[in-house]
Amino acid sequence: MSLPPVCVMDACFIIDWTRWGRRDLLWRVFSTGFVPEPVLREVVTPTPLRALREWMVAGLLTVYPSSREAEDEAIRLILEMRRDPRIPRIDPPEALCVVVARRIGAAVLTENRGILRAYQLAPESLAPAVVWNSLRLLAHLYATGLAEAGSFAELVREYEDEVKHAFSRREVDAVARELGLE
Amino acid sequence: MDEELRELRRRNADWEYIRSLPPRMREAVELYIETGDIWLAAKLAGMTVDEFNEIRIKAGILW
Repeated sequence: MSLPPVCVMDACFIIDWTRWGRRDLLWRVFSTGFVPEPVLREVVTPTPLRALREWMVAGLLTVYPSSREAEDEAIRLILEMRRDPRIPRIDPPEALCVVVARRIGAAVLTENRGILRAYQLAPESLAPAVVWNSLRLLAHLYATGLAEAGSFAELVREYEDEVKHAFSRREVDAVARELGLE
Repeated sequence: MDEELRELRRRNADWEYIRSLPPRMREAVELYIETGDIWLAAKLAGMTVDEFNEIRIKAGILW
């Protein structure tokens, strides 16, 4: 699996991931991150804002400026995805993350099921962007030894408890199987 | 999987808390429970995603 060194983060990923005690492990996987301006406006509570500030101070994260052209492309992407009934809804900020990631060849970090399903069904349609959710990132951290835990299931439980995010058991099993973590 | 997650959200929700919310917020929370679409729910509530996420946690709804 080839993973780009740059990531583009969506709001739902940011507000979850930054609640996790080991959130900085993100930067053992990626060297640089972008947050599109409209996504940044969705983040307003102290914990994620503090994390964003720390990452910006460390030179790890920056803001991808908003542009009418990119936002129009995001709307076109939403309309394109809506033609496939297997893809759950995608909203403008997530679509914008994909547009940005496609332009710069980055990984999109999102919890949006629509984007994740679109990538699962036809990754080439979003290339060169790669789409991961926090579960996939946790699996990568565990598989590469960057996140130590008694087992992958234990790491997932730690994340779920701290972040208040429950993954579908079926999805956890599928990711574990795919990466040989069972 | 979408139906499984919807059922989890419904089952874990604190319905007493949800019923105590102002109408606009209640509709937004119910929209989230049915669709899992946090951005749309936040916009219906007139909030940011981050603010709405705090309501989601208070309402005991799983992501």
